[in-house]
Amino acid sequence: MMAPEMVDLSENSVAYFDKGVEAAGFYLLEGEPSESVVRPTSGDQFYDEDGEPVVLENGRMAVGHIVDGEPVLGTVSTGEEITVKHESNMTPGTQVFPGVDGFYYKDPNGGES
Amino acid sequence: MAENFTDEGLDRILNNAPGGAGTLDTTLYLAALTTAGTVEGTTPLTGSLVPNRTTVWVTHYITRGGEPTIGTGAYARKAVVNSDWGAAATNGSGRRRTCAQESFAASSAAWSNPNVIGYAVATASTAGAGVAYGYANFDDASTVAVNAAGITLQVTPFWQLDI
Repeated sequence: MMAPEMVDLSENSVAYFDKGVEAAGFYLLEGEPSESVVRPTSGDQFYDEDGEPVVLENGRMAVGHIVDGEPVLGTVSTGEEITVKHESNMTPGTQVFPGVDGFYYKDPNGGES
Repeated sequence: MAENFTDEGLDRILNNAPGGAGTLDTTLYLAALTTAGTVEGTTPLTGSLVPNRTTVWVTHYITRGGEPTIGTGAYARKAVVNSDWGAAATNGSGRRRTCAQESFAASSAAWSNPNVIGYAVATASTAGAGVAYGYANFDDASTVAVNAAGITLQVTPFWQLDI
């Protein structure tokens, strides 16, 4: 018996919809993420993934997850425009089902698939 | 110089907020923020503290927000469709568009970070991507424990602009 196939969350986006779909549940998002140019303005202190303060010089701030790159911690100048991607224009596609440790393409509890 | 907004002006601005006609973001996503998160990397989030201001939903703010791990306990971000946002109405000294009450999926087990103190409104369903419009504690400064199966977290976001 083959193990049910899990959704690879590093490759797919899942959100919970209870409107705009036939049945409330979890759905993969279809379509391409859109991109927006934003201009960071915060002068807040930032920390790296180990909790160590990031040294800010000349008003530079730390950002992560820039388009065309891995989720990295880098720095850009405050006020410098950067491009981020978002999924607000994507639509629900294939329904998936929750399990104990993630989402599955077929209901692990034996419901609809 | 004094300045003032009219109700009609506020409504026109609010109609360009998510949920208005022709807005950039037709679907937003609610993320749960928990006591596992911190402010400034050290101070635990509480019913009166949420992550600091930022324009971009940066990777380390996810950590700072202590968001439950997506995919465990049936946690996922909740989609908020455009039509969920109501029309502007007077509230206090401004105009407010209130969203329909949003319900996250019922937990199938305790969320990895179970003590929820607020939520974020973001443009991505995926942790670590998109833009955060903002973070909010619950108005009553409460903590909601999603520490077992069958618990449904409900929140009611709103946009408000004051004169």
